[in-house]
Amino acid sequence: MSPWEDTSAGIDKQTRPRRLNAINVLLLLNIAGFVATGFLTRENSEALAFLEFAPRQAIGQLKLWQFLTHPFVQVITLWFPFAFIPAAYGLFTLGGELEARAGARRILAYYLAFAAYGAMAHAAWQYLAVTPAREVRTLGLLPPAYALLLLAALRFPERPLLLLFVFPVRTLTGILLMGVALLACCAVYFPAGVASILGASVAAVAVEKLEGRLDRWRENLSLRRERDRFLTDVETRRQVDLILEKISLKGMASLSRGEQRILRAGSELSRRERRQSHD
Amino acid sequence: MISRGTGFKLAILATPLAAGILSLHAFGEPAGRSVRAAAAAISYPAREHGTFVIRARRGSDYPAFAAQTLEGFTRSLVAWGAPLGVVPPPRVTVLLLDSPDDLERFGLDPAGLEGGGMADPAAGVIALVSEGRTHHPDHDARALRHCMTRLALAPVLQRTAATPWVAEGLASYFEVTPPGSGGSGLRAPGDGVPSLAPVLEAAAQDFRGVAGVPLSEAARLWVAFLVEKMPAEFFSWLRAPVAERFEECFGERGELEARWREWARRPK
Repeated sequence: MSPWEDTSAGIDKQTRPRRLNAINVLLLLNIAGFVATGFLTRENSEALAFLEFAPRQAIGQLKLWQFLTHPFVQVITLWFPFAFIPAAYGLFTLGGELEARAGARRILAYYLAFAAYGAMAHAAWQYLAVTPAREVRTLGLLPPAYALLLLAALRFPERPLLLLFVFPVRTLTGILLMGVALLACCAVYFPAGVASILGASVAAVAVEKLEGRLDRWRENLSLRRERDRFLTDVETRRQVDLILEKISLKGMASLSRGEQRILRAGSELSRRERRQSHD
Repeated sequence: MISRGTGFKLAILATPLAAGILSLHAFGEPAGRSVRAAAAAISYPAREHGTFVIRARRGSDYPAFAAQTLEGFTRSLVAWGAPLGVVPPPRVTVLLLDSPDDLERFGLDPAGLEGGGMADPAAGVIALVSEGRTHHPDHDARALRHCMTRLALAPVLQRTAATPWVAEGLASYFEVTPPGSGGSGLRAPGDGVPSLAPVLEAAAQDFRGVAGVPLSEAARLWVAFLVEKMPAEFFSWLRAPVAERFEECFGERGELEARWREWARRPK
C-alpha cells in the first residue's frame, strides 16, 4: 500500500472543507432526520410516511419527491446506529475529500441521484417480487451514503483507510469489504435493503465510468466544432480575397449571388474577429 | 445558473431514472403479477390426480392426502346432491400453500381465507394454507371438505333460492359430517343454541373471522336439522326459484325454530 505522501499531492493542505458545505449539510439533515424519525414515529409510525419511499405510492401515485426525501427518514431499530455511525463518519471523511475535488453542487447531485436510483431499484424489487400488502420502505441514508463512499473509493482507490479504525487497507478494498458486510447484514436483518444498496452502487459505478467519458466526448465535440469553424473561416477568407480582386477588376455589378453571400459571410467574420479582439 | 455542460450531465443522469419510473408506473403491477405467478408456479409444481391439479412444495407428501380426501368427498357430495343437479367440477386446482402471501402470488385474495382454506368457485381453485404449522390431517381434511362443498355447490346455490346461510351452513355441515358418514350433525347438549333470526339475515362476510364462529356454528346446526329432519322440504326449497318464500316451504318460522331448538338440544 502506498504511503499518504505518494497518494495525496496536497498532504500538507486541508483535504476536508471546514465551511458549511454539502457534506456537512447532508450530515446535519441525516442526523436531524434520525432524531425526528425517532421522536415523531414513536407515537404514530406513519407520521413521516409522506417523506418515506413507499414504492407503490411514489410511482403509482407519482409522489416523486419521495425519491429524494426518503434517505433523510431513518430506520429506528437496534442495529441501525451500528450502520448509521460508520456511514456518517465515512461521509464526513471520504465524502468531504470527494467534495473538495468535485465541488458542493456535484456532491449534492450525486447523493440525491444515488438516493433516487437506490429507490428505483428498491421499487423494481418490490413491484416484481413483493405483493402490495407486504411492501416495505427503504433503508434511510445507507444506500446513497454507501454509493457516495464507493464513488470516492473508485476515485481514490489507493488512498489509505483504517478499516474498523484498526486495519490499514486501500480505500477501494475497505469500501468493498464494508459493502459486502452491509449486504450480508441486510440479507439477514432487512432483505428489502439489498436492492436499494445495489441500485445506488451501480449508479455510483456508472457515474465513475461514464462521467470521464462524457467529459472527453464533450471536449472532443467542442474541439471538432472549433476546428471546423477555423477551416471554414480560412476558406471564407480565401474566397473573399478572390472576390475583392474581381470587384477591383470588374466592379460590384459583376458579382453573382453566391459571391455576394460569401462577401457577407466575410464581413460577418471580420465583425466577429473585431468583437473578440475587443473582448 | 446551470451551465450547458452541467445541464447535459443532469439530463444524462435523470433520463434512465425517468424511464425506469415511467416503466414501473405503466408496467410494474402487471409485470410483477406475472413474475410472482411464474415464481409461485416454480415453487409449487403441479401434479395431476384425476380431475384435481394439486400444487404443493416439491417433496411434500400432502398432494396424495388431499387428492384422496377430495376424491372420496366429492363422490359422496355429488351422490347427495344429485337431486339438486350437483355434478363433479370438471377440473379443480388445489393449492397447498405455506403462507397467505402465496395466495396473492396465485391471484387470490388472502381476505377470503377462512379456517386455513379458501375456495374460488369461478376459477375452480381450492387453497389450503398451513402458515408454518405442522400439517394436521383432521383439520386439513375438514378445511378441504368445507372448500369443496362451496366449490361444488356454488353453481346450484347461485341459481336457487339460496342465501348466505345455506352456503355457509352446508359447507360447515359437510365439513364435520360428510354425506353418507352417518354423523348426526348434533352437538353436545348444554351448549347454548343461538337465535335463528340473525343466521337467516346474515350476510356472507358475517360468517367470517372469530366473530362469525357462533353464527357459522348456528348455520351448521340449522342446515343439519333441515338435511336430517326435513330433507324433502329443504331440497324443494333449494330447487325453488329465488322468489319463493322461506315460510311457504318450511312453514311458520317460530314453530320451526322451536322444533330446531328441541332437536339441537337432544343428546347425541
